[in-house]
Amino acid sequence: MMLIKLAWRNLWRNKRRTWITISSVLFAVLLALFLESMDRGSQEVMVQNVVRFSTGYAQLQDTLYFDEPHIDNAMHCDDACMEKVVADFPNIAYTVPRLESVALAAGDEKTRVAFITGINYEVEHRFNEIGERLRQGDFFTGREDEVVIGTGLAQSLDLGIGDSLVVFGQGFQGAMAAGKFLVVGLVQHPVPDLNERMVFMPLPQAQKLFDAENRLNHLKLVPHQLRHHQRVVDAINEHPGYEELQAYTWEELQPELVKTIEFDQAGTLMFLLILYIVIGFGIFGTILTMTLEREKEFGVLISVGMQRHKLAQVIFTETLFMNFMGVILGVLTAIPLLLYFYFNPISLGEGMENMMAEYGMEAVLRFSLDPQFFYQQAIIVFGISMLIVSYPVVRVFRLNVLNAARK
Amino acid sequence: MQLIKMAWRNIWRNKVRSLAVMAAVFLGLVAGMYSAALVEGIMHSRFENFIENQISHIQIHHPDFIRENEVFQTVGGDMSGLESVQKIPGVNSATVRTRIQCMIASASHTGGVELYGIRPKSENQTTNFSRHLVEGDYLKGEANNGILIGESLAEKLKVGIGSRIVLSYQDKANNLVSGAFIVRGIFNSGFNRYDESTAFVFQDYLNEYLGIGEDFHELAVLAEDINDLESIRPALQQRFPESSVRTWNEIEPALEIMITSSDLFSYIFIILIMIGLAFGLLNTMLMAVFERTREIGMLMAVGMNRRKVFLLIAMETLFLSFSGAAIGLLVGYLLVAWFAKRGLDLSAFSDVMYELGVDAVVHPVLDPNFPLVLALIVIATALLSAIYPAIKALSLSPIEAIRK
Repeated sequence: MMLIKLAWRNLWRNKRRTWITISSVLFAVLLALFLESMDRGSQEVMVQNVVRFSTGYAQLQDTLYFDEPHIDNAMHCDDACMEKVVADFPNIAYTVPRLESVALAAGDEKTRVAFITGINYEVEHRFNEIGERLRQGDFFTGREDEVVIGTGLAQSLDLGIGDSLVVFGQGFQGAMAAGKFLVVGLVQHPVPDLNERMVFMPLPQAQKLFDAENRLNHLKLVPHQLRHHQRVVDAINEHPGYEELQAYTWEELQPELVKTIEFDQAGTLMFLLILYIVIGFGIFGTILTMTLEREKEFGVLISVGMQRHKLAQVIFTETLFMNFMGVILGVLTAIPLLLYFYFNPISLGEGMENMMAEYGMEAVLRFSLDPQFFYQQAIIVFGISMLIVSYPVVRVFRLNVLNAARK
Repeated sequence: MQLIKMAWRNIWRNKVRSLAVMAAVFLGLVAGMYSAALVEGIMHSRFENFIENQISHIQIHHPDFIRENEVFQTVGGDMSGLESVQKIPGVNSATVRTRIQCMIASASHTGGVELYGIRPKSENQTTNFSRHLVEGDYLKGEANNGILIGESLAEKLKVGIGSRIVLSYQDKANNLVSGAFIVRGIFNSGFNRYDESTAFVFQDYLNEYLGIGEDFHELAVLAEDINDLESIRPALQQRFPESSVRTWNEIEPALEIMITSSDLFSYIFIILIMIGLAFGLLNTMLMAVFERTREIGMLMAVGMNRRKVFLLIAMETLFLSFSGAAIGLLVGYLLVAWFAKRGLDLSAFSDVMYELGVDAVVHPVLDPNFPLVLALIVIATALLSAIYPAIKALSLSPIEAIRK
């Protein structure tokens, strides 16, 4: 207790010195958080862009569907079943059903390979705001034979609102799927590839077309908190009532995206290591100077009878205080800074905007506010600065009392 | 002069501290430079592979084909067109392709693919495609009903070498045509989505089905030098006056987005490192000034004027950072140059690298302006961090300082 008091008083004996040391830790935390936030931000955007318009954060499928993603393996799930999923798992906010298959789509003269997708517009829009990308017409009018198609597909097939589209393909387990539909809307899908192929229709209509009543290729599960998708998936897979179905996270459904992110993280880790080295030396410089400056004081203390290990403890406690304050203040300073960049992301420069808008992206570097990396970086920087503290501690044990006191 | 000498000697009065500061500057620069070059190298490799293997440097199409993909939107002519392109100076190789959308079906799966009718020999000279084959053979011999499909597509279709698959597509007159093909080879290009949606057959064989003679949809040109495309373009445009001639960045604008954001990230990173360095330097020098209060006060008391004190402290900081920076820039430059020549083996990550289309051996690339920009940033950083401690030294009052 006495030591702590002594250390605390020592700190405020020379305020200037203390603040300089604290500020070097503070800056280290700030820089590390900035870098990590920028990196996480770009990953989050990547995941969001990809996941929202493809697999969703978590999915429920028939057990056979994962290995053979074909409409033949569509699962049986009617409205009651969808309601039951939400009722059984309180973590799930809502679900997004889909029935989809590849088929030929024809206009007056031309034929294209199309991606026929039966959706429930309300939940689909709630999930990925597809309605914002509608360029003409409506997302469904309530007719029984209506489709909304990608602007690319419309152009290739020479179709506009009010024209008819003929679909021809294979339905559920060998059934023939053919039908004539009215184009009621044009949507610009953000994935250019899909924009050339996408045909949206109301889910019941698609189920009728493919002869797959009450069946879905998959049911997207949207958790209340997006990062809790793993919990949702685990809960379903452990639930005895869902043995015929299997839930997957987007990580399982999109291993390529996971690999891309891992690679990206390896790169950031390299950058972070370099940053740690640089800021580590910065902290070392200040701690070293502090030690030198106080050698005389140490010498005197030892010569009047203070045991070296007690002195070492005092110094250790002092630096512990300083590092701790530095880290806390660093995080506190980082929060408003990162908040600013979170709401005002760095622009990639003019000229990029139009190009990226076509892909449904913004031409900015986004920042993340995921609390997880705040702890991580704070702990790492704290660890580095505590490592550096070993220098003055060792120094105290090696100090030549006579020379030091004479200074 | 005297002052310079004094500053230099002052630095070496405390070797450990000075070396620590220099080491920080040195390491920061070397590591920053190296990692920026490495990232640039990875991006480079990715683009080169993507451009050289998939889209080539320049493509020629019927102007409407790019959007509409109609079978009849061909670039006309016989093989003399291709031969004349191959003779244009600056052209490394060129090939023609027929390109259509079609449905591909096996007993167990039906899906859409982009079907390329290729001329196996010139195709391989241009894109070196045969190296992606993991099973079976590349198309060879007389035109026949052989087909090459991607590994992931083969898995979906549940087919292997020798299996029969059916393709359905529209011919020139918009009639739906079906044809049976035999799987001769299975490839893995490293781009999964591409593998899943692309298939290759003999152009002569396909053209007969489509009824388009010796016409083609796409002419791909690989130039000798990617930076010299504008000099080839007029000759190509002249040879195919009615067609659209596009370079790689016009074909894939998304690549430009990636380059820009990656460059920006590198620069932000370097700036972060420099801020880190500047702050370390500033703090260390500030501490050093306070530690030497007595000494500085003494100098002032015996008549050193304030201007000189300011210069002395500022020069110490500058010397410290410049000597670290000079060695750092030199070593960083040499390190990058050495690895640029030798290549850095990243086969530990080969899985991911392949997935992303990056070679396992990466050659770091340094933008020629980068060391210069870096040197300027260092000078600015050093100056900024030199001024504050020097000002602080000035504000000491000699009498109080000596008494300490």
